[in-house]
This record gives sequence, C-alpha cells and structure tokens, in this order.
Amino acid sequence: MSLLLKPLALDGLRHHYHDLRQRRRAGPVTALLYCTLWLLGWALLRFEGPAWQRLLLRLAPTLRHLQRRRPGIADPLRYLIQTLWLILLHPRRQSSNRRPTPQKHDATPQYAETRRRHALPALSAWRRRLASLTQRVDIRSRDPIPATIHATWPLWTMGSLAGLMMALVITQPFTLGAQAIFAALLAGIALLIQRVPGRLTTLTLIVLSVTVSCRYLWWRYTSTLNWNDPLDVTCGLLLLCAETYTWLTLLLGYVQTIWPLNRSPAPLPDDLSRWPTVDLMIPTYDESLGVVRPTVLAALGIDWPHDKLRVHLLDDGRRPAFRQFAESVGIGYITRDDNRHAKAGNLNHALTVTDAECVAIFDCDHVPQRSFLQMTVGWLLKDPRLGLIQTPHHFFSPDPFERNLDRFRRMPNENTLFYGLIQDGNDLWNASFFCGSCAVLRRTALEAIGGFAVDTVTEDAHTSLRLHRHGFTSAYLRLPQAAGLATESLSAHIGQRIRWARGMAQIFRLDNPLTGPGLNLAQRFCYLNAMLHFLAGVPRLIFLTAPLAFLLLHAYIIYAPAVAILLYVVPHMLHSGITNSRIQGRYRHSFWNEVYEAVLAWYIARPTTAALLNPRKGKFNVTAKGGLIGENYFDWTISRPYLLLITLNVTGVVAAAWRLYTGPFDELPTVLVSLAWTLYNLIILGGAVAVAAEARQVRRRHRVEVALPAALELADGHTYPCTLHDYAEGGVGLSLPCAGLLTIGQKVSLLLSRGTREQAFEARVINVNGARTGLELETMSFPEHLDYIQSTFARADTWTLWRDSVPEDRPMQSFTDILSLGMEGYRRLLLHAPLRLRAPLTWLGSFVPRREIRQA
Amino acid sequence: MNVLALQGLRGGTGSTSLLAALAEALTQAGLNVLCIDLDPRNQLRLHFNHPWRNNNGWATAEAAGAVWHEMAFALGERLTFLPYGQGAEVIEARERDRLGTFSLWGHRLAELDPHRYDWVLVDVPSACSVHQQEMRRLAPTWLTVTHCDAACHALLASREPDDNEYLLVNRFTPRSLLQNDLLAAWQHQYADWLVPCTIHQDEAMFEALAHKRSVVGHRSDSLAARDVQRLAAWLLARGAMG
Repeated sequence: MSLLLKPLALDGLRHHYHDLRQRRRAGPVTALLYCTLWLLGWALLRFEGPAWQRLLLRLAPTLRHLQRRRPGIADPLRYLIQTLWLILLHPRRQSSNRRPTPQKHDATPQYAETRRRHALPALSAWRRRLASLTQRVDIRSRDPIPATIHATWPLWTMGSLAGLMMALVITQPFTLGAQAIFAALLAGIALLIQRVPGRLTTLTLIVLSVTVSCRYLWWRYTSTLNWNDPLDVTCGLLLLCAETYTWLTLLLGYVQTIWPLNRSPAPLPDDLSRWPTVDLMIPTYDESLGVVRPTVLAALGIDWPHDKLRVHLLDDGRRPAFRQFAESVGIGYITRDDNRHAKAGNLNHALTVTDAECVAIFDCDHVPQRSFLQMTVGWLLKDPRLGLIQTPHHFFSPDPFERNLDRFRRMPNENTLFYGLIQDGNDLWNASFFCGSCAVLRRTALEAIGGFAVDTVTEDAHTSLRLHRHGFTSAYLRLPQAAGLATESLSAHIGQRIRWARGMAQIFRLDNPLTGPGLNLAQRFCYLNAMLHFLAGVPRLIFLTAPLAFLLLHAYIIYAPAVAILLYVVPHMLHSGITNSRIQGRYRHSFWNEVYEAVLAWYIARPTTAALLNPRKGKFNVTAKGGLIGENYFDWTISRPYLLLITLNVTGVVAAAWRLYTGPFDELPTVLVSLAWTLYNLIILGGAVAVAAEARQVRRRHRVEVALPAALELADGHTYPCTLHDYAEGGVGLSLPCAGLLTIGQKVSLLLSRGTREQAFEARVINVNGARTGLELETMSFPEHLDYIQSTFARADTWTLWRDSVPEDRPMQSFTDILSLGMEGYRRLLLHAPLRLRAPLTWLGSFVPRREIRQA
Repeated sequence: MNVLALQGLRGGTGSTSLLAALAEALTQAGLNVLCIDLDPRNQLRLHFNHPWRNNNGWATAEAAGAVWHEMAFALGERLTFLPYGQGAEVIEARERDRLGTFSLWGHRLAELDPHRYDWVLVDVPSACSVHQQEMRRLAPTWLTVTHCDAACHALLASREPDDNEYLLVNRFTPRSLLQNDLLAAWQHQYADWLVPCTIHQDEAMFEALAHKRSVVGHRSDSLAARDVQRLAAWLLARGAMG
C-alpha cells in the first residue's frame, strides 16, 4: 500500500479507517468498503476544489441523519436516495416555505426565486429545466405568455395516452368475477392511500373515483335498460337521468375544488394617498333599525382614511327614522322614487349618486370587522383587472339546521362548504362569484358592465358572470371579515333557497354560461356547476322514490342482476364518498348533503323547472331575519312533502315485506337491495322531518361566543381582570378570577380594549353563578354605542376562533349521526302528532322492551 | 445583573408602590431582586412590612463607616431590599453625596456581587437631581412613571426622552375621557417611548400599602397586580431579546 500512496494520503486513509471503526463503530467490511470508496473518490475527483466544497457544505445539514447512524453496507444507496430526493423535491418545498402565498396575478415569472445558485453548472441547469417544467405543470401559475407547443406537447401526449387507457378501463365489459376483483383492487388502493396527506393523494383519489363512476355510468347506459317494457324503460330512464345529473355534478365538483387557492391578503402601499376611495353601501328595505344600527356603527369604525371612506344607507323603505339615524351618525342616506329591480336597482341608483373608486357592499345585517377594507382592497390595487373581491358570509346565530338539530358549532354548517371550499376552488379558475354582500367591487368594472345585473332575482351571481364575460377577474379571500344573522326558521331558509334556485335557473336560461363570449372553459364549468347545484330538486325526488318503482310497480329500473348492481353501485358510492370526504371533510360531513337536499328538493323542484321554462316570471323576495320563535312547534305546512314521501316509502317497506313473503325466490336479492335503499331514504327523510320541528329561539340579540381579556371596575374602586365569554348587543357574559366578588344588581364598569385603546361601559350585574357572571349594559350614548360595537362585533379577531372547534369528518360516525337523526325525526313527528294519531302509536310503543332505567 | 431605575415624572405618581410590586412580580418569576431606595423619605421599606422603628439603611451604614450594602434586608428567598435609613447622620450623608464624586453610585453598584442579583431596582425620588443624573447614566433601563393628566403632559412636552428611557402610565382609568384622550395622544406622539402595558387605577394598589405589602402580594387577582406582572414579563422579554 505504501508503494502506491504518498505517506500523507496513507495517513489520511488510516485515520479515516480508525475513525470509521472506533468512533462510528462500523464493521470491518463496511469500513474497508468505505475506505476504498473514499480513496477512489479522492483519486478521481477534485474534492478540494471550491465547487465541491460548496456543494458538500450545502449538503451537509441534509445528510446529517445519515452521518449520525452507524455506517452500514447499504449506506451508499441511502446517500444516493437522499441526494436524489434533495435534487427533485427539496428545493420546491423550501421555496414554498419561503413564500407561502400563491400570488396569482403576479406578472413576474413565478419560480424565479427557486433558481438559486448551484455548485455544479450542469446540475443547476438540469434543475432549472425541471423547475420550468414544473412551472408549466403547476396549474397555479398563470403566465400571461401562452405556453408554446414545445412546452406542452409532452403533457398532451401523456394526457391523451392516459385518456385512451381510461376510456379502455371505463368501457371494457367484465364478467362479474372480474368486476369484483377490479372493484376490490381499486377500493383497496383508495382505502390505503386515503390517510396519506398531500394533494397528490387527493388527485389520485379523484382519478380513481372518476374512473369507477364513469365505468358505472357506462355500464348503466349500455347494459341495464330494458327497452322491451315501456314501464321499465320510463322509470329506468328517469333514474338514469338523475344519475347522470349526479355524475355530472360529481365531475364538475372535482374540477371546481381540485386545488383550492387559499389566497392571502395583498399588502397595501405605505403611501396612504394611493389608497382608493371607497363607497360602503348598506342596502335595506324593511329590516328594523335595531338590525341596521350595528352594521352602520361597525362600518364607521373600519380602519381606512376618514376622507376616503363614505358610508351610505340605501333605504328602499324610505323611512323617516332611518333618515334621521343616518343624519345623526353622519352617513349618506340614499333613497329613490320607485323600488324597481329591488336590491340591484337600489344599488344601481346609488352608483349614480356616488363616485368613489371602490364599492363595498354589505347586507344590512352583516356587521363588518375593522380590518375588512385593509384585507381586501390590496388585491384591487395589485391587479388592475380585478373587478371583485369577495369574502365569506359568516353567521353568528345558528341556521335552522343547527338550531333545530342542536348542532351549532358542532359540525360545519350548511354554508361552510360553499364559503370554505367551493369559492376557494373557484378562485383558482378565476371564477369566484359575487355573493351580494361582504364584497368590494371596482366602480369602473361595474360601469363597464352597466351596473348590477337586474334581469334575474340573483343579481349577485349574474353580476359576477357579466364581470367575467367582460374580461374582469374576481378573487376570493377565505377570511371571515363580517358576520351576520342566519335565517331564522326553516320556512325562511327554504324561501331564500327557492329564490337562489330560481335566480340560478333564470341565469341558466337568459345568460347561459356554457355559451356566449368571454369565459374560459373552467369558468363555464364552475358557473355550470353552481347552477346545476340548484337543479338538484327533481333528481333528489327521483332518488327518494326510485326503489318504489320496483317495490310498488314491479318495474325493473336497473335491469340487471342484484349482484351486478351491487358490484357496480357500491364502488361508485364508496369512491365518491371517500374522495368527497377527503376534499370536503372539513367543510361538510358525509351524508349531510343528502339531508340538506332532501329538505329542499320538493320546494326547489317546481320553481327551478318553472324558471327553466319561463325565466322572466318570478319576483324578488327579501329574506326575513332577526325574528323570534316563541315556542317549540312543528311546521306541518312545510313538512307536508316529506310526510308524503315518508308515507310512500313506508308503503314501499310493506310491499317489500309482502314481496319477500310471496315473491319468487330469484327476485329475493332485488327486493333486498330495494328494501335497503328504501330504508336509507326513510332515514334521510327522518332527518328532514327533524329539521321541521322548530326549536324555541329565545334571544333576539344573539350572543357571540369569544374568549377575550377584559376587566371589571367595581363601584368601590377595585378592578379585576376577567375573561369575556360572550357578548351581544345589550349584554355580556364573563368570568372573574374568583367567585363571590359580585352581587346581583350591582353597578360595574366593563373595560374593553380595542387595539391600543380601552373603553369603559357602564353595566349592571344580572346573574352570578360562581365566577361566571352575566352583565346587562346600561343605555349607551351614541359615541359609547359606537365604541361598544367596535370593540366587540367589529374586532378583527372575532371570527377567527370559530373554525378550530369543528371536528373532522369521520364517515362512519357521520352515518350513525344521520341514523340517530332520522330516528329523532320520527320521534319528534310522534311527539307533535295530533292526539288521535299519537295515542294508538304510543300504546303500541308501550310494548317495546326498554333498557333498565337507572335511578339518579 | 440588570439595573432598572424608576422615577416619577412628578411627585405622587405611585412609583414607589409600583417598584415594590414589580420587585415581587419579578421574584415570583424566579429571579433574585435587590431594591434600593434612594429617597431620603425612606418609604419603600413600608411596602415590605419593615418594622417602623428600624432606622437602618444604606445611608446609616455609610455614615457609620460600614459597607454600604450591609444593611440589606431579605424578604423570602429571592427578594432583598435596602432602605435609605433615617436619623441625624443620614442628613450628613446626604450632604456628602451631593458634594461627592460624580461616579459614587457607579462604584457602589460595582461592589455588589453580580451573580447574586438578577435585577436591581432603584427607586429614584422625583426631585433629586444628583441621583437622577448619575443613575440615568448607570441604569440601562429607566422607567419614568406618569399619570395621564395635564401636568405630566406639560412636563413631558418640555423635555426630550433619553435612549434608555421608557414612559409608564400608572393609575389609568378608561372611564376618564381626558385620560383616554391623553393616552391616545401619547401613543401617537411617544410611540417608541411608551411601555406597551399600562397600570390601571385599582383600589387594591392603595390597600396594599395599608397592609404593608405590595399589590402583587396583597391581591394577586386584582387588575393592578396583573398589570404589574405584565410589566415584569415585558421587562424580561426585552432583556431576553438583548
């Protein structure tokens, strides 16, 4: 050895060997191998050169975990994998850490900063090529320069190849056994990977789900229709239409929510003079002053230069009290002579008498936070083509579902899906809609499209459709910046949805997003899905009655053996369930969609069909809010359709029993499948009925739950820190550091802080429960009231707490939840039933065996 | 060893009570604290339940020719306080201090064991220019205790803040419109100078001295005590940041 090497190198080698053997405790073979590699490396490569040194220095921290372990024989492989991983994945992740905000409308190339200096020019060039490729692949990037043919051909090739293979998978007829294996394999993959985090998994699940569902539909069209029997084919086609509708919304939904943008606010310039002027408009028609007042007071407290924010009350009711109120607080009061085109007309008229660059719209019951404009307007400055920026509608009172089912804040509510996911998904495709409130629009954009759209009853969605058609973009910021009251009763909720459904159907007819100029394909898809969503009435009714076609009329709606039906339907439902739970889990729990749709189905079926046939009919009805429900009652009028459907389905169950008893043996599986379906329908309908049992709503002024530091000053001068637990317009609930400090009726001052300011409010103790205390606020003067609203409702941190408390979706638990909800529905039905009906049923019920009742 | 000096912008701002409370809050946070009273009226000791008749202090020790910090009294494990002392000889010492070398306190503080105390809080009387000038040079952090009132506003307007000086608002009550407005004005005017936590007006603060204790020991659940604890946390965080 000494013959081959200079003494210095030999020393180095010896030292290296000893280091490996003794310090790092490597085996002799490994140490020998390492030494050989080390020798080879030093002999062939210039490790001492600056380029290698820099590279080694850069790699050292990422290889540390390997250097720490005892050297093993497979370590070269480990190093190789780690290095490959670093080259391929790591830089991307680092860059996304550094810049977490996807800046969609930036004109500068997106991944400029990922191109960092690299030690080796070849490696660096390769990585740059890779980065530019991923940039092309990454759908977030919206390069204004169209991608060249050279750049996209690999994608097109891969896409068409995959498409061909998918078509093959979808259309290939299988024997039952093969289909069983196919379904089991795909389901296995889906179940395996569904726990893996990341968007790649979601995309994989979507591909699996699309494959299975397309295959199902293909099978349904090609081999399950019995063209020989007119009844069979009529019922079968009806069901098939409904299924096609579901399939279409499923696919469009995947497109819509494939990559939620999660936009963050754009910073405003430091120079205040560049901030635009804003007209904040609060349209009102017949709401009470008590509802409007907090909104106006909070609007006055929005953080914006005073000379650049003008608040206007747009009163279509032309009420003197409102004029007086507007004058007393110093805001604009705008009325007009007629009430043509309702809210849209009201806003359009206001546009003619105001002139600020931006227009912020708030429904009169949406209380804005102080940060609203600073959060939103930045994007309008950043992107000159941006016509609209929308924020979520957030509710501080329970909606009828939450209240009547006692699930307030225990699961995502009905509109969470739309504002949490769908709008965010739309944002990727530049298709987020205007929702009528909590949004800022650019005046020039509005003028370019001729003001707010007045042709339909949903002026909001139609306005944004027109903005998009005229080449303006829209943005969605998923940060609640305002909160309002949810609809009070189920009937009001249904009324509101009927209006939306009718309006969407009108737009579909009058200004169909699939045709006409200005939209790209994805925008057309997003609008189409929004409109299709409201056409769910008829398909849902079909699903709720479909099994009866066989059970009552003996029509084979799916003309195939029961086993085949199961082998195709179950994977279809399983995959769409898993995938949707993955995509929507945080925003809507599994199976709840069915309940929401079942409640609305009957009511929106007729108006949407009517509006599709004659879109010019129908008027605007205002959604009533802020009422009281005096006592528990059951809304028999509204639940009539559910009762009819329940009766039909119960008849179906009876028929199923009869068929099981008397029918031929080979029909048995079909009867069982139909029976299961009917029972499922009954559960869903039970849920719908449960909602119709209106729970009592005591408070007119809803309490907002928070956890804020505050302080309480007693009349004797003692002051205590406390935690504010809830607040309402007239009172608060808080807890003190210890019990026994307060007595009922005592007068105190509540100290609330807002930013660096602190305000005192006079209050009276109305209840004491240990350290918990309820206070009633004394009558406040106008400046005090302003301060109070601004240090409670209009705080910038009020609504951020809320999403944390909602539990994750767990499909099986969600199903048992729905099951118990269905049972609860029937229990409530019985409870509220007329005595003549109830007596025999309770008498029958008395025979039911019970569990032992524990004595308390 | 952090040296922190507290001085009222004018008389009667409650800086001595605040110092006692702050010392207790810091000891509760696990730090060793030495409080030095530079006020010849010798009031600080009353917050630490010190016997009324005990006239010993650093000035008496000095006059007697002993080591100046010999007369420190320990209260619990972590808190030590050094009264000014009272008596005829003290007045002499005062005169000598006034005429003495400029870096008298620099030497005195250097004599302390730097590992024994994490914090040295010095109560500087509002009308003592000699001590003020010297401690201002010595103490890395200087808290000027104020009220949100017109007198303090006028005093503040007539001077420039030092680099190491902070303004602390004591006895703040949001019920007073004047106080609220002045605080807002100060927040605008003296943004870098103002300590981000204010001490609220609280009856417990007055009661504490009547009980010969600091407010943190007397009523830990009161708002004033919590405010002082926040102040202590702010000081510690500042120290931690360098």
